[in-house]
Amino acid sequence: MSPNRRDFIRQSAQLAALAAMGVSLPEGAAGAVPLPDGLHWQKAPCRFCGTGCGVMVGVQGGRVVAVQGDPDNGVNKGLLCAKGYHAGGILYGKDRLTHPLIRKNGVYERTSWEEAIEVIADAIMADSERFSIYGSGQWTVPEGYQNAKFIKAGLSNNHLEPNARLCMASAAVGLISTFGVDEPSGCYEDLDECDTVITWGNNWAEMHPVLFSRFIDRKKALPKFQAGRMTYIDMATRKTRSTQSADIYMEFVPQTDMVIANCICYQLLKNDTYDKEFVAKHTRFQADDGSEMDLEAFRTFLEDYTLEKASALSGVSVGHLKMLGDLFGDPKRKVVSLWCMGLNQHTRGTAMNNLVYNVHLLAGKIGKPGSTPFSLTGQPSACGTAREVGTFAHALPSGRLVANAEHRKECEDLWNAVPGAINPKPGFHTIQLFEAFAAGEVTGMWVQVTNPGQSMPHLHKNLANADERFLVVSDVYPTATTRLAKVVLPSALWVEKNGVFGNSERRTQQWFKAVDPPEEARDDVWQVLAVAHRMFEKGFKGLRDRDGNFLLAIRDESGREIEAWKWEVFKTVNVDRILYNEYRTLTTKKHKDLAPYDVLAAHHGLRWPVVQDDSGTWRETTRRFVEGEDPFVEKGKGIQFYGAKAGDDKAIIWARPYVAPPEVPDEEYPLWLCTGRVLEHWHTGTMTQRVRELHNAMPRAYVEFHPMDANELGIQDGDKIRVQSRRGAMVLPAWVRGRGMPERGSVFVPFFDETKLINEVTLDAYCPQSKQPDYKKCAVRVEKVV
Amino acid sequence: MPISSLVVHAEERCHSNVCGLLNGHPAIEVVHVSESAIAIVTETPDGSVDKLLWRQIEALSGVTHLELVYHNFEDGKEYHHVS
Ligand code: SF4
Repeated sequence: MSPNRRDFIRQSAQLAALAAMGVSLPEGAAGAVPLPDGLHWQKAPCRFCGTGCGVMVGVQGGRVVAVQGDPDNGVNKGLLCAKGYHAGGILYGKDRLTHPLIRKNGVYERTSWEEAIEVIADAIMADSERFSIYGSGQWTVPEGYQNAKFIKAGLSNNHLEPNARLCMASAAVGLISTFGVDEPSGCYEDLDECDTVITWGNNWAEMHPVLFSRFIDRKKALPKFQAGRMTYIDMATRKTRSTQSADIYMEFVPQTDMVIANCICYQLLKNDTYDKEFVAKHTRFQADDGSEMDLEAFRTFLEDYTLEKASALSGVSVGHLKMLGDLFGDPKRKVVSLWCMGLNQHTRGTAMNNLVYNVHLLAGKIGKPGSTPFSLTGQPSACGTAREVGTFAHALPSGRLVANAEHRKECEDLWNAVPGAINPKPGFHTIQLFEAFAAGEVTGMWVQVTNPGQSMPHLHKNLANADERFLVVSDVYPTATTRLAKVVLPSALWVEKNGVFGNSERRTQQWFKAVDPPEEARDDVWQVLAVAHRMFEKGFKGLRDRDGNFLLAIRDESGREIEAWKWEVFKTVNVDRILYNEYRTLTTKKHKDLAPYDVLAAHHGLRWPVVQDDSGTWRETTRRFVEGEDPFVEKGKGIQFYGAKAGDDKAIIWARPYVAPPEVPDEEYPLWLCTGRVLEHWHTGTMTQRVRELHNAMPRAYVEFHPMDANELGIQDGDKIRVQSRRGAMVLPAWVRGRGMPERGSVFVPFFDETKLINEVTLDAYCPQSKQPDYKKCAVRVEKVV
Repeated sequence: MPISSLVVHAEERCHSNVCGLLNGHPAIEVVHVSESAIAIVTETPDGSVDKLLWRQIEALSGVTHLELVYHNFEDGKEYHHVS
């Protein structure tokens, strides 16, 4: 190993250990890593989580050879987590898909792009009403936007869904039902100004490590007399790395987070410590069925959540519940609530999101520096693409809905689509879509940038017959899904193409292509464009605009059509810039204004709404709905929830009762199963399992036990354990004193390992409002396999 | 030369003793010490030695458990992803 390489590895090892302990690097440490000369550096957002850290990508000889944290990016200021530091490695796994493949007689054969496009175009045209696209929160903004146009106006069937349905739908519907509009109003700076952080079922030390460090470093740096006031409370059903840094850990019975939130509200009203002025000015109350209620009726509703009743249901002590009530009732406390999958993957996920907003609204802890409820995002562009572009079955770009005639018309006009091209009936949401695919009701599916063959819950049911249908998969490596496909298309990955992502805090980040994709791998935008154009050539009516021209035409600034469906032409044009700037015009009518492409290119991320001030400077918005920060708040309003559907600028406090989960442990299946992620791997491990350092650090999945349960069951580390539910079984090695510790009576299994498909075991019951399934709770039994 | 980093968790009363022992080992660099844990980097001649070293650390009096957070052995066999 060369001395430079050795130093680099040692430094990576040190950084990983520091990150694991919640300590950040000394300023500029990343830049101190010795690097070869002659590198070209350019900015990009990290390819992985929704934190949206900025990275600097070092290119030499047409290859990415180095990655370091971007010191000019306000998210991470130079810091990255273990995944981020290894992001360059994901491009160079040995088994990259480099040629289109078609399955013939059960065998994958290499084929040409021309044949692959012809086969796909013919299959879509044969049954366009029952063709679907399933993508993800890892689609870039232009990718998602073009797919929306293709499915909604081209095929007119609305069967477009992102895997964000599985991770963020409850957060989105929660925000829309409380504030009338999607996406958090707070910002990461709130972590620099708060004195209390509460995580609601969220292991941010592993899932959003850079944000975790941002708060924990600040807390640790304070002198002892000040540090005492800085409090981190971890409420969860499993002790994690986050817990190790928590001042208080509150273990609760799965699903009773609803009870805890209602109990805090009960105390705020009972103790008269709620923020009366804020509540009167900025909120109103609604019952679970949507009917209006007043404060007194809400008070009566909360009688079911007294300290004693809540403690009995949740398992949290009266003392701890009281402490939470006092903390929110203290007007001087600045509290940030954080959550992610623990609340969203919940059969009452929308209600649970509403409940956290209730607590903050009653306490008046929102829209003030250091006080905000903040829903963290899992994927790098779940916000920017899935939610903002609107790649859901019911949605149109920038908060519009297919069911709304005015919204349909706005999109049809911009796209020059034939009036009525957009179907007013929403398509299938994700679980319905896969059920319909299994049943043959949907006959074709194009999967892009995701791996449902591993990530869908209740796999036996939801992926049944997938290999018999017309399944196209665009991906970068072989996956559990490509193995079911008729056609596999090799895609360009991350900095092998241009892109735009939008992170958790409304920050839109742009990057330019830095290296060529390998061999015949090509951009997803091009793939869809090429198929759509072939359909147009073959006379498919849906792809003709009002003038008979190609609906998805890419046009230059003079309006001249560019033959971008030809790869040789596509490579020479920044199609992203054209698509993004077109999409941007739809954002400016909904207070979600995005900056023009060239402005984004010149910045290290900008948070919307982004508007030009009198001097012509483009200004981002740190806190939404706050006078002086958000340009759409009227003078003198202070706080203005201008998205409110009723037009009264008020947020809704919902009376959401506790509802028990659909499956609970019983005699036959006596344990809870919770699934989740690990620090080293990105979701299903497709990319990170190809990075040797990450794979070696966490090579295989495991089943984690509480030591006392393991002791009672006679289970030791490494024992082979069959985890069995009513739906399926999986054999995994036991880990007893591992990275986390589940509550007694529960086990935890991560889902990154394609050799251990734990989703054959999980349940696909979902939230009635958001349709997001619950991966965190189902009943299992375990047995040792000898 | 495999290079790894680990977080060593030790009982409070043994913390400084464990720190001292780790500091004195030629293959171990102590990177950071907190009240409850010690971050270390290990560098050993080959993969069998590093596992032995981890077991030795685990066996130190007062150590409750180890967490491997980073592991690199690029001078070993090429990595092939196994599906
Ligand atoms: S915290 Fe998320 S965005 Fe930041 S470096 Fe890690 S994986 Fe990438």
